[in-house]
Amino acid sequence: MRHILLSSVVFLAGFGLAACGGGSSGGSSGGSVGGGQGSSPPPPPPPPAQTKIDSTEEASRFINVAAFGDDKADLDRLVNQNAESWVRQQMNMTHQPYLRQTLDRLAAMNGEGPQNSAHNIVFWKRMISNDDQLRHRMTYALSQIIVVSDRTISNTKAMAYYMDILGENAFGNYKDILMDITYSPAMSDYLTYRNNKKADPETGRMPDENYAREILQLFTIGLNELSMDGTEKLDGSGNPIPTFTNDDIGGLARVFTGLVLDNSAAEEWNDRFMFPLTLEERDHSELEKTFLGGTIAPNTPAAASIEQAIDIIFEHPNVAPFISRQLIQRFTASNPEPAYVQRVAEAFETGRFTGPDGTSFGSTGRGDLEATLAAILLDESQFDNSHENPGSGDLTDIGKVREPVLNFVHWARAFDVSPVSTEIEGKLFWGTAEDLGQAPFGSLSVFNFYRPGFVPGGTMAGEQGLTVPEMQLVSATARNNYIEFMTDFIMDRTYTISDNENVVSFKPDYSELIRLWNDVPAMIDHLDELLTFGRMTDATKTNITDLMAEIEVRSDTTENAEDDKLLRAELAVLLVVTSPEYMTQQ
Amino acid sequence: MTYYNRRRFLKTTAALGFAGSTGLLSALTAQSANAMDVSGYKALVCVFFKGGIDGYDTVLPYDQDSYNALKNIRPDLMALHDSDNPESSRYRENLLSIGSTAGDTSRTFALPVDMTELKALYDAGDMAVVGNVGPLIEPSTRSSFENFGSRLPKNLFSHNDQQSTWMSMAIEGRNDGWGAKFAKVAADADPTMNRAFSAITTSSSDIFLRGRDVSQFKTKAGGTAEASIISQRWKLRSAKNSETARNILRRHFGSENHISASVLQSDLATANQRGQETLAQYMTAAENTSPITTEFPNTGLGRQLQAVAEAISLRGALNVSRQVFFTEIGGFDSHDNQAISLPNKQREISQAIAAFQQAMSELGTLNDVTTFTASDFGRTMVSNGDGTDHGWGNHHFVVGGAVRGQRILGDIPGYDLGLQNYTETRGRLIPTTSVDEYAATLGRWFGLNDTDLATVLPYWSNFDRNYLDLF
Repeated sequence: MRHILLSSVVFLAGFGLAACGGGSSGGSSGGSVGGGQGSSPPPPPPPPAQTKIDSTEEASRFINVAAFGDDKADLDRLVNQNAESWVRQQMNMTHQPYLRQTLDRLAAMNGEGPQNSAHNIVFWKRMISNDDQLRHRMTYALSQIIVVSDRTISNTKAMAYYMDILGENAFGNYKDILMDITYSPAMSDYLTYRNNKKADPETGRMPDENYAREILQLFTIGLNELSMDGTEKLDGSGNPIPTFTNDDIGGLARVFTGLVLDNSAAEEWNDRFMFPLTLEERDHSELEKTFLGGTIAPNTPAAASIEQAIDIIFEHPNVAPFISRQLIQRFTASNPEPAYVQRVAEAFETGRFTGPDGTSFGSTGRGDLEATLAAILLDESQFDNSHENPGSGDLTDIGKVREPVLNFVHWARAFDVSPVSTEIEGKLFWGTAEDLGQAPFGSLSVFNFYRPGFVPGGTMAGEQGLTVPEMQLVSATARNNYIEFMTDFIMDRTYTISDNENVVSFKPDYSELIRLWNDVPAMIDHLDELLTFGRMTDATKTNITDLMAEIEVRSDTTENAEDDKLLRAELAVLLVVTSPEYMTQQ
Repeated sequence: MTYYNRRRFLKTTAALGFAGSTGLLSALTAQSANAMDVSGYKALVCVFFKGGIDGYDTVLPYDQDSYNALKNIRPDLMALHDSDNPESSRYRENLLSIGSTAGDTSRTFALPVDMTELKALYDAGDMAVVGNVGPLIEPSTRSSFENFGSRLPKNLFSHNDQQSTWMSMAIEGRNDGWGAKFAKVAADADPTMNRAFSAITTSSSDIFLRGRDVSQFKTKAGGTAEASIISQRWKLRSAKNSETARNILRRHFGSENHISASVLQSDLATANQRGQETLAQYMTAAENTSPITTEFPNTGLGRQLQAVAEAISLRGALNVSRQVFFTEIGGFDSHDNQAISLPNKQREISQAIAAFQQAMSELGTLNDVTTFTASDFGRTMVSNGDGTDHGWGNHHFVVGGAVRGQRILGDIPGYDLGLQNYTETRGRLIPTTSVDEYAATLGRWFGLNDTDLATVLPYWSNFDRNYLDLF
């Protein structure tokens, strides 16, 4: 019906998996629900899922889950393709460095205007107008796990260099990312280990523990031991088992000493932030470094210490489920069922994934992100119509609450806004965190805009113990700010600059809606296909129909008639993008 | 398949104790024979220092021996403060003395000169300091900490988990905080009150005010307005005279007719509806109330406390007798640069709270509003060169006309890393007053009885249901 059809046999198989994988304890990061179906007969082997995209609506849904949405012409081109071929094609596109574009932008500015937002403008522009969508979406997802924020780091070159680490490795290996970010000036400033020195018994000074703690807690293994399905392991008394103690942090903190800016990399101080850090051996701790059951021998030099430390951390069995579950949350499901987490974690662990149509993904071994991402997007649950709730396996939980940035970019791409002059849209840099509620690379802390284990109080989802991180952003004020932000973009972005010259920016193409102005059901169908993947509710349809009845198209002048038709299109779009169905992804 | 009709859902679940909007919750009320005291008006205001403020650098040692002892433990940090310079805010003679704890008069303490306004409130008897408070499950010492001899809070030293623990007595993943629970007990005890405004945040929607039967209202300085497409008539262009169009937009923005099988959509729709309703009520109240005249500093915390003062000025029009507020200020995770960043933050705190107290005076609510501080954790006494790392126990402030001020409650252990008050490494304070005791003291003033407090605060009984002598 809604998605891509699959037989009801898989429905049963899906539930079998949920019942086996679902731990019954509601750990903070496990969030396991599902299961509870009692003993069922052994399921027959599931037939391969069918990933062929049959309609524009299906294309619209898939492209929004995997990327940022698209206009109708681009969506139509996907029909009759297998999802694998799109994923493969996207992964084959090479990375266009953000840093180069950031430097171009700075050169074009020639010292005029805000110098610290160039990277951000480049990122917005690429999300909205480029074709290599999957890479940007993955970069954006990774940026929400391994957080560095431009609200703190004001050097735009440092940010762009950091963005490139995530962009270049988006389909590479997670371990390479860990190594590269450790040497990145942006992370070293954000988590305060640049110029971090070994202990000094004279003054009592100890190494800064910030990065040691967060690389474990947030970037790799989390606080408690996990099973491959992402649920917490429990000890004999039913308590979670911590992955590390304060002693581990103290041991690991010794590793991240002696990292300094490479003064030979560039003449200008600010430019040195777009090169890897270098090492000052005399500041590096020569003591033994013991953590997570591993030991780095005394007097190991800095570079070798860091390499061994990343090896030890990356060896931990938590990495696959910990990172997999969070990546799933950023693409497909706010509360993924444990069996889904396990399938993706296995792809991470083995570094291989084979799509239902036989396409294979992954070549770099354990931690391969190409395999991991393919496993997320091409998972059986995503192409199984009998799952009312893709990605969850539980009939009461459905897909994901969309992130504000995705809500906005979807609109911009669906109506092919032009020109994408992000540089004159101050709202996109300084405005978004407050008005839209979220900005890429603009988190207020290393904990991102929401936490993966967030269970919203006072909601039905919360009553069921479901994790819905994105609901951490939900409030009456956020709702109003979002309506305002979208109204502003949907209705008018034409600026008058000082010499009375009009600058057109972000002009949406509503021509199809304007053409259909006198046929409200057709307008609704068009919007439903493009924006809500065939899920528009009766309420929204009724509200559009009733509102259109109030917007008369005047016939006195052509100008008035055109203005009224445009108003009809704008208001219809506004109603859809502020509807609960648009703000969720199912 | 079940389709959730949200209105129906609200009605049926209200009887089960689920979140609902005004007027649907009579079944919840009057369940307690000795319900809490909800006479008059009272409010609690939490000022949360995100990142973990360094209590050692906020409530400083003042007597020469103690001052020297701290300086010997963190010489590099004190040097970055330039503490030997008579111009320095950490130069001993420049510190603002606040006296001793009751238990040990041989040692004296002080605030930095950056907190001049708080010192004035302290001297006026409107502020107290609570020493070494932090999350505990049961009384703990160095030996019990190092040898697992006592049950300990989970995930100590982790930002998000300790924020959550301060706010909800449990690590991240919980779905209700003690602020929301206080508000709920009050709202249940006073069926006439509009519970939509019993929990108000000016910042993020943290766990402190999230919970069952309470939904937090978010506001900002200057109040809040309806969507511009509705409030600015010209935006509807040729339809600018259509009140029908505006009502359709209101209906849509409030998701009033939304029906869906999806839990997530229904939850969003419920939030939209509640938001639309409370917004309208709040705007009406603001229109009918004269604005406050106290000027607030134009800082993050200044604007937030201004928003709290504005909300308190509407208490009559909004019909609330008990309110819990949440404000926050970030930037305390001073792993580096502490000598620069912390004094700036301390000025912001001090000036904002002073303005807030002035506004309370203007509103005549000085004795009805108590402001208290909280933070992820304290920090290590041993520095990392130019900053400090994550600790545990910390010193906090309680401000208000009802507070028996000019006193330091709790303990401020001596600056000797060998003491049992510290973990074996880095000088992390092991709390001697638990967050449960701190919260119980505030809760009792707010009107909660011991039975309610013991329910809301899970570990309070492990501390003999002890109160601090604050009010």
